[in-house]
Amino acid sequence: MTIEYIKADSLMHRMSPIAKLIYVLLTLPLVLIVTRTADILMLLVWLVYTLILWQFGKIKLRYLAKVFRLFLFVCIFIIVIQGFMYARVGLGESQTPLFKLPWSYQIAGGADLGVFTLEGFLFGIMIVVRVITAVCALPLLIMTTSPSKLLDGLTKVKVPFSFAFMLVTAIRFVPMVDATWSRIVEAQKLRAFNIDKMNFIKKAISAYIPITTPLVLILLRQANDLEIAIESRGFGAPEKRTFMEDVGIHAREIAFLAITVLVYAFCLWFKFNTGSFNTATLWVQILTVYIPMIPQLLPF
Amino acid sequence: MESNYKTGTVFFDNVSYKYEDTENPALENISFELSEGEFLAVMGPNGAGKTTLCFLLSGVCPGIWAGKIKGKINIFGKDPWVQPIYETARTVGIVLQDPETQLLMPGVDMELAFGPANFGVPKEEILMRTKNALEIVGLAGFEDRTPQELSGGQKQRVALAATWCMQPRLLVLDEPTSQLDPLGTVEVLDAIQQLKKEGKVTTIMITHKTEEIIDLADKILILRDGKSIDYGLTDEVLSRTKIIEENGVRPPDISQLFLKLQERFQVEPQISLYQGIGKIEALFKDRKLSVKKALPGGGKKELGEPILITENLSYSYKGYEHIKALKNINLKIYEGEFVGIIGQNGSGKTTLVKNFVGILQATEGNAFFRGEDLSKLDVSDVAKKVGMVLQNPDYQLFTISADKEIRFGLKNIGVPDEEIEDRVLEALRVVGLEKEYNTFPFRLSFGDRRKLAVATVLAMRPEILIMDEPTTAQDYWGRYLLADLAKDLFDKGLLKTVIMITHDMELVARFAKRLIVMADGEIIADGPTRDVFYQKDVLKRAFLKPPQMTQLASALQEYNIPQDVLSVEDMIHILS
Repeated sequence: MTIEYIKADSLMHRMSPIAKLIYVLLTLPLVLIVTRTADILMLLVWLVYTLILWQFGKIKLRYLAKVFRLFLFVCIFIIVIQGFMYARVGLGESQTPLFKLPWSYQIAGGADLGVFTLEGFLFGIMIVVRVITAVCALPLLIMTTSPSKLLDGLTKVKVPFSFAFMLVTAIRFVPMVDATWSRIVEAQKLRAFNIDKMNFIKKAISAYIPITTPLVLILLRQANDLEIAIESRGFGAPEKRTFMEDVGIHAREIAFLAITVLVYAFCLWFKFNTGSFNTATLWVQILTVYIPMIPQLLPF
Repeated sequence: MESNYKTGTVFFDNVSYKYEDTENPALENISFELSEGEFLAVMGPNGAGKTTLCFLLSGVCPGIWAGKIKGKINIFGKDPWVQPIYETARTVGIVLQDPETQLLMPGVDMELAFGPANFGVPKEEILMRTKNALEIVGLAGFEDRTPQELSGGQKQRVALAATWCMQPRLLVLDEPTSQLDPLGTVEVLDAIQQLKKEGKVTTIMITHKTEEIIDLADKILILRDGKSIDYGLTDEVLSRTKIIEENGVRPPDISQLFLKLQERFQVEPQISLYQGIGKIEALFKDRKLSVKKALPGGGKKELGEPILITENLSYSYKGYEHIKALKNINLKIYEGEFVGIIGQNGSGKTTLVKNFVGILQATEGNAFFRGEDLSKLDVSDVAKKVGMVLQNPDYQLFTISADKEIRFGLKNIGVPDEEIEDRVLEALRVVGLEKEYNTFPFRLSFGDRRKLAVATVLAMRPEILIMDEPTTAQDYWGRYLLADLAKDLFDKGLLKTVIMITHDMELVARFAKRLIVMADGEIIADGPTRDVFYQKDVLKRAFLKPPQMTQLASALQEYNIPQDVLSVEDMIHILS
């Protein structure tokens, strides 16, 4: 299962998509303004807030297992790269080598590719947390908002209807493309072509052609039908479209947004005031207190 | 312009249409007229221009497909040619063939609201229409479903309801049942019947299946190669049995029988089974007709060794372990058998044969090919033993020429290079496509693409050929193309055994000597075709209807008509 709408009844499900959209939009600059390793604290505060909101949206971590499994590879990659390449010697930061490879290669900026540093490791972790914070915000909008509300919500905030509609039709067609894909894989097995049993390299070189060619041709044909179905149902008529869902901002939304803004302000305060903390103590705190807290917060 | 037609109606006045990029006109001089509330059936072989007619009515031509038009179209005073499609959509609703692609939204309620919301209909009104439309099509309470949770028949009914919510004055249905199983077909036809009862909606429906529209249509228009062949009231047109049959429309069995009887008696053509039974009964009473001969025994082909055996075969799909798609199937299929497997969608017939071709592996029990466990073989080994032809060749074809398409499979099973060319030529010759050696498969007609798909399978020289719905999407003339091909190869001994999975009772009656009926993952009947057709309760359980002639025989039991009559030929044989 990937990030898709899960039918349920929860506070976040009832929440107006516009409020959730604002929350997601707030997350983006927060993730972008991070510059120093110490900013991780701010991200963790926001991440914890996100995970608490997950509870109110009945979002379970296992729904996203597939997505996170995919990320694991990327995360490890980032940490390793940063560990070897991070260096801010010029900015007066010290470097604590964790382990050394039997060779040494100096690159511009003062980093030694043969040395894995603590600072680099922590900076890598910060980037990973950054990615996770950004990724975790999205399910709160997508998984708790029915496509119908999403469509009306986006239209309400003046996203052009044709664009919002495109997004929603894409949601509708993901499972269809998926089904077509499996049907083609099965069909080609009848011609002794078994993609499931091929190795990675063979697959990458040529194996997808017998699958993707029919897929593209079938999808093109279906797109034709789709166009007819859309246009013959009055798409593009000059009338103002009827909103089927209540996506307005009411007391509930205002309360949610108020809390969100408060947490947000707190995060920003952290960002601009942690300079005075002793970085070393901060890290000890993060590693021994805050990080062990996360599993308890996670809604498994 | 001077016209004999009234503006309060739907009419085509001498309409011709040519698509932008083609040589020949798709429609030539078509005229018909419908007053409000009338129902027109449009019939004819593939390529007759039926879908073009739908596109002209709904404004898809010229809105999406450009072309040139002559003549005048009127839909309640409006001309779809001169207005944008959304304007036409206010009066014309269209339902297409494919239940999959015409549902746009991820939920039924959204789907139904989509049309009226585009026109700014107030929310309360939309909710009322939605509820009402779902009730009419028999899907009350389905608002929260997603398309993935619906069967084909249900999807098609949602499409109907979604169109109905826009309150069309003209409903255009383009073969709405052609991709459904018999149960889905019945559901959709019932829904159409309900809509017809409900309001004054004028309807134009395209179909291949004559039986479907006998009770629905007021008028029939028969097209062939873009020209109007016949047009008139339903009874009149259908009673011209010879004309319609010559033009690729299948007359009901009963009218075919009367056509044959006309050679011997003064009888009027009949189109309804019910009245036909009465007429034939009268002939029996007057002793003009009587049973003269028994049915031919049928030249039995010697059965050989068992070639496919299943032992307690069960199968559950991943993620649905609690539902058994196949329950303890014990089956023996012999060399020299032509078997039909029949049953609804979801009855397990496709799941069963997938176990024979290496696509699925039994969760319990085994399937053996001549004693070899099929689940232990690689797909390339299975392909040399059991071949399967799918309904839609477009899921398989991907190369730039017909010969490459065949080579692909041969290379996969490891045929030596020097032998490949011979096998390719032979396979193309067998299916009659030797001239298309270099043709790009997607340039071929649908029928020829299916033949090419058969050729790719035959080139691997399997002993068993399995065909999935060999009649789908073919017109009256082309429907037995694949079955005939298989029969031919079977008679020549190139195929040891043929298995057909189908909904088509006529096909089974004509080709299969043995019939297996499946329902709910079980085999509920298995025996000689004639014997199985006689078991009405079994057919009922599988939502299948016996052919008209079998029904006729059963109605006329007292006159000693053998109960296992399957076709018009059978009936004529015993009466001659």
